[in-house]
Amino acid sequence: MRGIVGLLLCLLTPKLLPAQPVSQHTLSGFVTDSESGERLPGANLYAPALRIGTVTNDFGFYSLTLPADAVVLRISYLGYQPRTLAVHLRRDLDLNFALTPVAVGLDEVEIVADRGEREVESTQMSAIDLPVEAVKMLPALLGEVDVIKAIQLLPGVQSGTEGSTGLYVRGGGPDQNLILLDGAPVYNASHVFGFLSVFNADALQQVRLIKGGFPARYGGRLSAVVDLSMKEGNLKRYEADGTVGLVFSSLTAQGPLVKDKASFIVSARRTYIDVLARPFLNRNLEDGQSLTSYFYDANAKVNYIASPRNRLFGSLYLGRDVYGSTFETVDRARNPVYREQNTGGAHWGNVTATLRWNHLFSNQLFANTTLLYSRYHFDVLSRLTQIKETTPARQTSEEITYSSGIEDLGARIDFDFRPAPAHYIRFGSSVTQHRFNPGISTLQLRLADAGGTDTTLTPNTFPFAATEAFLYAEDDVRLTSHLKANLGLHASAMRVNGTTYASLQPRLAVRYLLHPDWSLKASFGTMQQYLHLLTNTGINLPTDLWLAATDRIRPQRAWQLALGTAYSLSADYLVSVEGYYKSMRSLIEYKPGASFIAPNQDWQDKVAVGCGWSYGVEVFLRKKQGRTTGWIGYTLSWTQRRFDALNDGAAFPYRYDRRHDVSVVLTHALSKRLDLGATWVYGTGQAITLATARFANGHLLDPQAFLDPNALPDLRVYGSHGGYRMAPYHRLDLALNWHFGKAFFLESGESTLSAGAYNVYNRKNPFYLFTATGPDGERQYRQASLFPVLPYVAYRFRF
Amino acid sequence: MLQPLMYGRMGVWECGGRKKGSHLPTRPYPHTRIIFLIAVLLAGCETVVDVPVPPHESQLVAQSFFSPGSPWSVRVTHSVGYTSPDRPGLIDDATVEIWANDQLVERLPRSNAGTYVSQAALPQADTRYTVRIAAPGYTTTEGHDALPSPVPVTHFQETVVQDGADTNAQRRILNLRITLDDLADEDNFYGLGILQGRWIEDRQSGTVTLLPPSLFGFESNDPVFGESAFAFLDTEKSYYREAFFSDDLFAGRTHTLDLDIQYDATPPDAQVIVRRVFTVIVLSISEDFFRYLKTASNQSLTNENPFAEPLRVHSNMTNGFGVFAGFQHRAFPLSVDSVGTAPITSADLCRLAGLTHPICQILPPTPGFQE
Repeated sequence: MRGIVGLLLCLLTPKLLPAQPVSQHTLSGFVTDSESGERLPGANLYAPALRIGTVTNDFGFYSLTLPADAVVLRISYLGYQPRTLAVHLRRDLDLNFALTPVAVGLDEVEIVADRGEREVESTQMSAIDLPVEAVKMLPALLGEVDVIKAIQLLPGVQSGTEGSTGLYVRGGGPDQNLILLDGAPVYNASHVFGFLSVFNADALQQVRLIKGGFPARYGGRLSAVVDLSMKEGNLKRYEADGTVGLVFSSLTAQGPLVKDKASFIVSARRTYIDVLARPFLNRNLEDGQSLTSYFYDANAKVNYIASPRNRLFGSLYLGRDVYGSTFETVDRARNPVYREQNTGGAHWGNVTATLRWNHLFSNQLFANTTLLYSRYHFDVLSRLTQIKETTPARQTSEEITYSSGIEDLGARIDFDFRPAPAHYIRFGSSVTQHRFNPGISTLQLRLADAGGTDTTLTPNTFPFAATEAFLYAEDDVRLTSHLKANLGLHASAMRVNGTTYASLQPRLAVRYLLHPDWSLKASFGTMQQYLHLLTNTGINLPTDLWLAATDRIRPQRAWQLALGTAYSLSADYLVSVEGYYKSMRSLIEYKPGASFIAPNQDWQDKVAVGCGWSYGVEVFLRKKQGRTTGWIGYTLSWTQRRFDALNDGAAFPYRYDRRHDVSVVLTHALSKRLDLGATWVYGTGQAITLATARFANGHLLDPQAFLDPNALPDLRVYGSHGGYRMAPYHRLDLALNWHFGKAFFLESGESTLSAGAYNVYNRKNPFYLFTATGPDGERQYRQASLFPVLPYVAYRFRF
Repeated sequence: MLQPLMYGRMGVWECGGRKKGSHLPTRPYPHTRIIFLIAVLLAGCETVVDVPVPPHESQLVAQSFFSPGSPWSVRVTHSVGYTSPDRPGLIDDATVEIWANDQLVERLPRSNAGTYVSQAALPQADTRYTVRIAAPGYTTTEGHDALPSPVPVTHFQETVVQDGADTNAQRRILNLRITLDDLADEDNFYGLGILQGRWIEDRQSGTVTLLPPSLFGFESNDPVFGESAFAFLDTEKSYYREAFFSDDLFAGRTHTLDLDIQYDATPPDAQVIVRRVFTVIVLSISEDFFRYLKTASNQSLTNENPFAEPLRVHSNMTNGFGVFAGFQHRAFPLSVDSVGTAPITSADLCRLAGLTHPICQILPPTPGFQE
């Protein structure tokens, strides 16, 4: 196998591989956390005298080929004490390094990492790593640490509506983001109608956002990749940590199954807002009304080191939202008494599972094989029951269920090959079977006088499947001491209902080093996305449908060009400026007025196909270490859409077009035990279309419309599409974290008491506008605002 | 506040067309349910803010539906700013002219408030007409249209599928089959509606009241009717309050529309319908008319949804709103009513109610009917 792979690589890249001098040897191994034994992805290994370095891959593996000599090697990783050691390299060596973590939150905090290669030196553009531990210091809605909301604070990323976990990256829609949890796609990343993400920060090890310059190993989406890795579990000792908040609590346990050989981590959280809010809700609800709402999720992972060259991981995520309502009305004026009950509810959730096998073919060739499963499912139930209180009672009921979802079963294999310091080659392939359930409805009708007959109507909308596959190869190649490039090709195809789509997507990223601390970068890539998200509300609802491209609705396509520069002002400060232009085709939107159309009819008839483009400049100033850390991000951008069926075919601003977007994120260590977090965001108001006038409706077939001028609602006259801007969005959040030496109920461990507030100055940010009648009968536009100032307190512990 | 989100779109139960054997109001659809739940979560978060709306210069609005054999009738109103407390008003001092081939056909005198009706001229086939409306303080508006082809109904059949008197469900179901022989070489557009007339008797007082005629919905799974806002299961027939459709799926061919209407044979309420009559109206409409009706109907469906994409109502009036549109019609009174045999049409009801609606003027009176 090793020989075949090596031969293939040599055939594929004969010109790129320089002849390897006999006097060189390869140093390889893993970089791990000395306390937990977990492997560290993106750790930096660098030989300063030779100016040669490398980074560990996603599984902590490195391979570095150096001249046979005594070399000084520096190993570093954000949040860990760096190590420097001398290695006398006379032959190929397997060397594992363990780094000791620096306690976070004592006197220095670090945020927004240069994990791995220094950003100035990397060919990768538009990518940002967020250390989860640092995110925990930032203010959080209701005290719940949310990595997706931290991503929203980065330049080039819009959050959509207030409180939403939607990601709108460089003018793309939320469906254009590939969100991976341990390699498995997550199709609906939100709880509570989008207000919280499904990712439990306590279970996460690493979060990476890529918003452009996509390496060839990523595909299937147009706009962004959010790559989340779960913790592996402590190989050396048992530990637990948890959070107790006002409306959520979470608990995480991890430890060795076999010391230094196998480990586990289990994490779960649940909201108990349903319990807390019940007395208040019941006070406000009328008799016969009740509401239910809660969610939970759980993560689990096991990690087994089978041998120095083989390692297995199994990870699982499941989450579920449950919401429901019951209304009952009683008409006692009737004889017999007439009672009507309306019960409804919605349940949705994701399940993902991955099984990974790391295998080291040689000290230069690493492989990761993944089997993955992902499922998103949504159910809604509506039951209407009428009871006439006769003897015996006559009961008629009608029950409708509706379900939709998507299910993936896939496999992929990825190879890392490092034949020489100048080359970092990745290649691999993937195949995924998608199973779409685009909306299955059932009806049960029970009639009072029909002998209790059940009528179940079998729907004729059946699930359908599609197969998506891709191959990729990329080489991160150092061409000269100043010039480095990442050359890649991503080839993908999908077959659905007898139609096959395929595409070749070239990817190119170039970095030119003007100075050791200053580089220019450029990237170009094309992307193709075979999935569409049918959404009709502009907010992320669980009812949004994932569907495959068809012979009528082609796959989405995009290309993106980005130019930028990164300059390291000092060891503490880094500034980057990027400009981008992105073009998107075969986008879909509901046709005008199709918003509430029945979901089971042919969706292809209901959507308009169009294109879009976005361009802008992003400025990102970071302070990476010291007592005060954080960033200032500014984005100036334009995002347009054009659909023949909308706005008379003229271009219009996309709903989340933001001319200006500012985020300021700061953490400051006040003392060894106390730190302060603050975020302030500002965004240009959302582009919406307002009705500017109205006129009386006239209807040929409805005589009442002429008899009574008020019989039909007036028809609305709209201004230009997206021609009105809602009020700007801005908000300040604050957090104060007090670190204790030990958990309050134990003699050991550590704990943190966090208190803060969301929307500190109580800004009434617009959520949406609607019309209503004022006290004097006048018609008004009203703004619904979501969150006033929301204080929170949360207690985190670890032992 | 929340109820309309769940129930508001289906309209009034008495318009008919509900599913088998129940008085259930609108089914909450999945999206509606979710919007409702969000609305519950947002309750109390609503704030009134001053949203500056661009000023609107009021424009003339024309609504004129003309057909052969009927006098020209043009209703003239004006638009108002969206947040204005005023109702869109009728214009009584307008000058309304009908033109054909640059020749003035007739200047229409005002008949009723805001309504201008011709004294002599009648719309003719194969002529493109222009309506020109001027009024003090408004920009003159005009629109153009012609009569479409006659309604090509070649066969009409009604069948009692279920007689409510024979079943526990007490639902009466009528099946209607209407055959259209679509003309080739032209784009044709059609409309279909069922007018209902009812006499209601109050059992306590014994008073019988004539209700104004109203639309009565029907059900069909014929794809030519297009998507229905009121379909949930594709295994069931979709519900339509009325339908406007093109000949896209049967251009130049014969097509038979298949639809059902159903209603309670014996309503359980204190008020009882003592007589119920139906008239099926099939229209041939111009393209402008078709686009106006479709967009107006679709816009009304998104009234309650703050997140829906806005929909512009089609208009063929320049410097104004509304529509100037030609149509032709065929009317088919159904022979079955809930009581039995009285052959009364909705046209008679129109006249009884004193309506000036064009549809009332074109319906044929029932022979022998005595008021």
